[in-house]
Amino acid sequence: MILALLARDLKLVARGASGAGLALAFMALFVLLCGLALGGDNPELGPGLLWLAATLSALLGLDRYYQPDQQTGALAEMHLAGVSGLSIASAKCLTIALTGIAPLIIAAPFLALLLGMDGTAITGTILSLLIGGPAIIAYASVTAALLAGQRGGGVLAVILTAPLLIPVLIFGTEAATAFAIEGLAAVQFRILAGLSFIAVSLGLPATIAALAANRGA
Amino acid sequence: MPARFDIHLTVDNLSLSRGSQTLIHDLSLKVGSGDMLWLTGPNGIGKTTLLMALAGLLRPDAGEIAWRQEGQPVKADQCLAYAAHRGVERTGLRLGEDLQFWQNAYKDARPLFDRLGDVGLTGREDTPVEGLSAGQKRRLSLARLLSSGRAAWLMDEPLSGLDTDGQSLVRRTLSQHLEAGGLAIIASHHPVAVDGVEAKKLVLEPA
Repeated sequence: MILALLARDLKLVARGASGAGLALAFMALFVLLCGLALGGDNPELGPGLLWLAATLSALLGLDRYYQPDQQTGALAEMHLAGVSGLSIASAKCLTIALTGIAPLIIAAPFLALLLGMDGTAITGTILSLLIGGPAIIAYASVTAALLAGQRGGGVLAVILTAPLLIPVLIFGTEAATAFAIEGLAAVQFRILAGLSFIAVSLGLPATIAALAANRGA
Repeated sequence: MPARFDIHLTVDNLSLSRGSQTLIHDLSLKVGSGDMLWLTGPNGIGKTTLLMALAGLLRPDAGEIAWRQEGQPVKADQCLAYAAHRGVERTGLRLGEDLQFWQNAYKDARPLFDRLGDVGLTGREDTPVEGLSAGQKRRLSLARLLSSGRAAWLMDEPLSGLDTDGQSLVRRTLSQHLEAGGLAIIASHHPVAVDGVEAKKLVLEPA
């Protein structure tokens, strides 16, 4: 069932007005503007800026994930058809990973070059984004599910989710910096992985609960 | 034809509200296999709310809604299918993809082509759902009901937008469903006359 849901989600993303492209453009613009505002080469700020850009971009357009299916009643009908909330939430997280986060991570090395980062710093940043990615996805899923019952509210999403993402942002940046010295053995990577596990194990049930609460709306 | 379904619904002293407004107060009813319940009443009186509550999508303020299948208590999400009025979505999916998804969800073994044929949508599988006419959307939601294989059908305005051909399709399909021991609860402004079945009429009135 998860595969059927995933296929459906991916088709919808592919044909819908693409929020993924918007997020990507936002990330590029953000990095570009930061480069201009900070002036000159600041490679040491690179990991932090990329993390900030990726996180903020991932929080853009969260209303495209659950909201259409909520408004058309498809989520309620899935529930009646016996599709479990866990399948719905898992398929959606995979969709967010593939269409929301993956493009940002793929774009990150190119933007890193704009910031004058060297190879090791770029590798460290990408690895930290990959390891911290599940946390961003889980929080994005919860926020999107909470917003599904509302109209609009994109800014509210960022405000709701930002505090949850602060530890991920801190240790993501730290891990990216520590990579140059200690490689993947750096303790920051383990903390980041731990944060991702916590986020996923809390995020899935919270998403399911939020979808259930929306059902009568 | 032996009855495929054995389903009963008992509603006891049900009260429902939407926001601060009480829509249904102290409603009790009993329907079972082969019955058709026709809900009618002015706009905004709570027909859709009642359907949603019966489907277990809304929590009642008071009272009990109990579904029984083959004598056993059963949860709403295992014995019924709900064709909402807005039901068919404004998605980017094509008709065939959408129906196939629901067939998959309901584990319907009938081939997609035949299912489309059942509701007169043969050859339309590549039409985007958004581009369907109101009547075609009704047909699609009828196809979903058929795919569900569920004993109880909850239908919100099943005839709206349908041509005479489509209306007789709905009647014919309903008649087969009821004959098989199914149950139908229909919210509609117009009577849905099904051959050989006397609909139980429930008129919702302002309190």
